[in-house]
Amino acid sequence: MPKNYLLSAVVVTLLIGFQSIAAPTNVGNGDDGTDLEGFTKLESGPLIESQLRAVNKLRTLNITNIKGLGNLINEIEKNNIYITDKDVSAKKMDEMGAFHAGLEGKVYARTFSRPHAPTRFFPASLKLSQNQLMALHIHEGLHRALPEELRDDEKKVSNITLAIISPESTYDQINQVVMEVYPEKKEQIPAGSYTQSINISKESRLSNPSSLELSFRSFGSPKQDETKLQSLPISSMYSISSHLYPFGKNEYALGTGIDVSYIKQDDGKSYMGPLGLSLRKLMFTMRGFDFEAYGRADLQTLSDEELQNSLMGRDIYKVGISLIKTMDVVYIQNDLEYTAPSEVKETIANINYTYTFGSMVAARIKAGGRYKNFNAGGFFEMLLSTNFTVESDNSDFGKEDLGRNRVVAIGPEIMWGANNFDVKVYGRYLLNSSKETDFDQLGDLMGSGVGQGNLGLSVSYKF
Amino acid sequence: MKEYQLGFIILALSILTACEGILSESENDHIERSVVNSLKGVKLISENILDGRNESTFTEETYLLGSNRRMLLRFEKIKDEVGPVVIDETTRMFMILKLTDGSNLADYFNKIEICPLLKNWMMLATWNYAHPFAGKKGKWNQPGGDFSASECIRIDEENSKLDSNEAYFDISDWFIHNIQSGRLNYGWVVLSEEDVTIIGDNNATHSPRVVWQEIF
Repeated sequence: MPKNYLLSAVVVTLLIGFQSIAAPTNVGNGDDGTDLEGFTKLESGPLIESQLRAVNKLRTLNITNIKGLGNLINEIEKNNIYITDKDVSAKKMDEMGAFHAGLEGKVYARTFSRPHAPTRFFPASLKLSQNQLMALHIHEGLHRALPEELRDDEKKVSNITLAIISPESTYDQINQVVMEVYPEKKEQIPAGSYTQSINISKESRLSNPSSLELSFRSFGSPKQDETKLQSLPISSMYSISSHLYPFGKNEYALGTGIDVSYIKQDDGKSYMGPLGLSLRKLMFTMRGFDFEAYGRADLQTLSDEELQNSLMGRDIYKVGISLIKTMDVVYIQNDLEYTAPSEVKETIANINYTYTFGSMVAARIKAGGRYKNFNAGGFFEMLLSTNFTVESDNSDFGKEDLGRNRVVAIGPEIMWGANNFDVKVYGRYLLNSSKETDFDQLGDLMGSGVGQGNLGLSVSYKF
Repeated sequence: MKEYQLGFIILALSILTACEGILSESENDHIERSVVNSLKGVKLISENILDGRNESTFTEETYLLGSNRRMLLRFEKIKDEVGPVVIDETTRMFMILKLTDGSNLADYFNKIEICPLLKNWMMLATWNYAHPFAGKKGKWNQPGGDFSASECIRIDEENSKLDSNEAYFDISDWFIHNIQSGRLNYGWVVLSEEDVTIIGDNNATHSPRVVWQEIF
């Protein structure tokens, strides 16, 4: 076996040497038909036997799970083998392009570096051993199975071939060799399935999608005392957020998020705030955009009856998408969010009130500039809520239907980031609203907050 | 004692007990048939209190009313509470407000009045706002509450109880036109030109209430 391996290695090494002379490869082009004169499709014989042995070896090594080699077994197993009637000189083939020849100038095989291309073997190959033929099958198969940016590189293909045919080859060893020859941040596209690869920008959130964040928000006062809605004069909120994306592939990540909050009142009392649970999918598009879709539930914690018995006691269910483009000096983000209708009950002086929140749509534009480790920008946000109603139980008074409400907010955002750490200072201010509404009436403590706005500080670690 | 003597004594006691009930009823001018307590839905509004959630504005033992302090009363579902009643010359519907001890009801006969409200209001109401939602739409048109001045009712001097400081207001016409005919009921506002303290909704016995009773 070691002897055969050495022979195979010599063959492959020679292939590398010859190919480096013949490079750049343009496999199959310039074919004048010389090598195709009289060829026969093989159904049995040493070439077919070695083809099966190659497939078995690859299966034993679980090669399909190695990045870039997912289609290799398929390419070898389904490949039609032809043998020509005549040998062709290496000199002639050299004129034609890529081929695989031995030290004696004999041409053994020829294929096209594209998925599902046939392989033509020359009579000289029949003098090779089974191990050498197996190596030849694998080598030719790699030319067809590897991603486009790799398959024409004879040196890289040969290195991978050597790693595979080594008698002591293991999955890890092969994987290591493949990783070394792989272009950085290129995704494997299975040969024959589709032909475009996705280059993940280093600025993409997919580089470090997961995050752990600590944040603090200080809320502004309600719009005016006489229309103060909140039963709890909430002054600030602390929260810890963990968004983890353990699932997915290179170009997308799937994960969950947990947000735990703690709120403080003006009088110093404190409560557990809403608990946020989210499911998130982050994708990178071929146009260089990050696209994130998410569903989120902000649930009131059961222990805090005072908070539940108020407008802020609303459970919130929302879905949204974010489109993010980060360039060298500018970043832009568009968010669209839909909040489902829900209701909450409040008892004031023994009278039970039911507040019914209609659906709400939020549209947000974030934009800013980037300079070294700093991002500075802001956001503009419009919130449209519908069919907010107030009704007391068992009342002759009827229902107070307030129809559609508009809340417009703006705010600055300054961020410094280094070594995966971000520190962000941000604000939210009520710019304009219909019916003198402030954020209280939206009942979204974790989202837009309360009062007329807030100032926030967050520290996050991304990984 | 013989059996017929014992039976006679029991019969005599039964007759006496029945006669006592009849005599008691005939001694009263007013017999209350239905009572609606306003234990829920009493709200103080004041020019000086801007926060609708101010805890001194509801579920209090007493409320001080005056030129810039008024009381709102809901009387929700009063029709269901009262049930089927006939209102005529001898059976009337009254609202009763009890003044605190030490007050002289007679001094207030022409100074306290109740007026039906014309706008939906909440327990978060203030002097300026009927409710805090919808901005200006939630404002009273007139600070202190929107009411129909022509429908205001003064104290019924004849039926009020001076000894217990209970002021009776005959709301029979309002009840017929607004409640029995199914029109809107936004409750009442209590106005007083002079400072007066009225028992509040935290007093189960003497809180503001509505009664339907016979008068003679």
